[in-house]
Amino acid sequence: MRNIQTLYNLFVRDFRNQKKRITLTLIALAWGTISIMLLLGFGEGLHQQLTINRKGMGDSISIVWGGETSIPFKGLGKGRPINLHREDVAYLKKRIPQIKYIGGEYHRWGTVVRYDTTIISEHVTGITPQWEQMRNHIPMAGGRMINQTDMDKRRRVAFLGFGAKQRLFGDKDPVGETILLNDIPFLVVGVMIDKMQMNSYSGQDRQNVCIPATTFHMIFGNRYLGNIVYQPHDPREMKLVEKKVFEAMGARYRFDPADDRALWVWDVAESAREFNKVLVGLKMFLGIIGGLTLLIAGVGVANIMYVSIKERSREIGIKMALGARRSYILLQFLLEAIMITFTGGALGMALSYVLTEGFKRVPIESDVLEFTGRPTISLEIGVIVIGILGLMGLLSGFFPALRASSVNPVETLRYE
Amino acid sequence: MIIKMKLVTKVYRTGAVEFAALKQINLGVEKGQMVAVVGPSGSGKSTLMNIIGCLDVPTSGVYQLEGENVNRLSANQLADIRNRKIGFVFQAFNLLPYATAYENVEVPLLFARVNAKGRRERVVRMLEQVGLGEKLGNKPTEMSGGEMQRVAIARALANDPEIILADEPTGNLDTKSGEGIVKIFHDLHALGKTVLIITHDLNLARKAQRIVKLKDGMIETDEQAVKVA
Repeated sequence: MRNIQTLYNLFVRDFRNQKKRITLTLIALAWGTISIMLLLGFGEGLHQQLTINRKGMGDSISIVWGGETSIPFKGLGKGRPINLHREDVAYLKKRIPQIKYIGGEYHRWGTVVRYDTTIISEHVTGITPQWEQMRNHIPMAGGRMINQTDMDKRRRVAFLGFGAKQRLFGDKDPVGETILLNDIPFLVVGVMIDKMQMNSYSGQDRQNVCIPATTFHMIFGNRYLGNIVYQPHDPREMKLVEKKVFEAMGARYRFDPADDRALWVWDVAESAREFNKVLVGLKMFLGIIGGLTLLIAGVGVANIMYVSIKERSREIGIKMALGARRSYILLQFLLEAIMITFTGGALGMALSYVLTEGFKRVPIESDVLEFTGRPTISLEIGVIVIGILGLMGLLSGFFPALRASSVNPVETLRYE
Repeated sequence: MIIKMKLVTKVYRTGAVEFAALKQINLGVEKGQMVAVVGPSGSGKSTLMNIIGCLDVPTSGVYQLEGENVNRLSANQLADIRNRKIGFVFQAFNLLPYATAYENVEVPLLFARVNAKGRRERVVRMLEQVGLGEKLGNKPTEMSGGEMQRVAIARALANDPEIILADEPTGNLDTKSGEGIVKIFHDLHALGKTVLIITHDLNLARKAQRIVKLKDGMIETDEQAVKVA
């Protein structure tokens, strides 16, 4: 086996002999590597950002709305409306031990909210303390979320979405201030962190004014809940819990548990899984585009190797006369192809890293970036790209190397 | 007998045209002999050398090297024989142009998987033996023709082969350098090596024990050198 130094000398010599061709191929390799790295990095950044955004509304939760029966059941006709009552929450919690958190929610749009001389028309929701865990109603420092005592005592306290707070108070700290909801005074106890939320029902959380569900019921007197939100202990039991909800509610309101129109259930975790598949597909698509770009550079490597072998056929013949086995010649050219591939690849990887790190440090205020994220190069991407480069080096080197190893020494050594 | 050929024929095919470079050659060479192979171009000298050197195999006939039938060997076995039993010296020197004298001599030792220490000792000794102990780091472009050919001889001797095969070793050299090379071959012969030289150089041929003259792929004469004048 020739040592690394000799291999390096060969590479340098080849480089001198065909400077332009090798430079162009290295550029092509670097370019191909950059494109695959950036495309994969873009996919990764998008994935991370969307995952964060998607979690804004809450992770592994289901939202239940009342529906209308579509199957006749025990002498009752179809088309009966099923409404959710506040007592249903405790009932479901008791009947289904797999549920970790559950709460009922009320909605009221167009409620007049006033602070000092500012009057706005807002979406007011009646919620429970579990919204903090289930729906990420996380308070900013200096304030708090609605708690159980608020619920029990039906306190007139309000927890503001960041957008609602901005419109009422501007940059002023609202905690401890009093606002009027339909001319009823409420004490502001906290403000929700300014979270990015990609999916929603009944509008974005940041625009809401939240009050305890018990207080909401007392003041506005809604007969029915707008919806119920629950979260099981184990996210893998989403489907099981959903089935049990239908059974329990079916028993309570006398509808067929198989009647999927009686209740509407949005399994957020399920849609997250679906969404993940789309993202993985997108990443693969980006990867394939990058891979194809890199493939063109691979053709360049193969081309260089063929030319190099033609020019070096005498050298191959000499080595064979000195006792080189064919496998050795094959290996030598294979290694050279891989070395060229990795030199170009390393160049491209370094450049991509500099580009993405640089981009991360440039402060850009953009709504687009809040959705797409910034290209992120992960270890995983590095490993994938190195793998592709290695495979490509092998492939683009193998056939030229095979040609080299089948050189007839008698032909090449003939004195010219 | 170290080299034994029986009815060796080599036929080259170019498309539909067949050309017999060697026709039923019978040849035996004793260990330690110095043989000159002479003959006009196209007489089959190089083909004969290629077959003796295991770079090529006969189309028909039997070639035995140290009693082993070469026809039956695999490509890897042939490569190992070229590596350990045969030392080639070419007219065009055929050094690796990018490598130093040291590196060139090291190549066959690398193929023979000699360890680093063993290689260093051997390379230095061989280059000193051909009088190039001072030029280990020189590249072929920095050497004269005679020096290059001496590097090539050092390389041929690296694995201490039984047989030295030289194809017109003085053909590209001036008279003085040529004489130096001829002397080295003589010394090798004196050391007990089997030396086969293809040559036009009567001076060189005359110094061999035996002269084999080829013509049209056949042995025309095979005689002792002293008879040639």
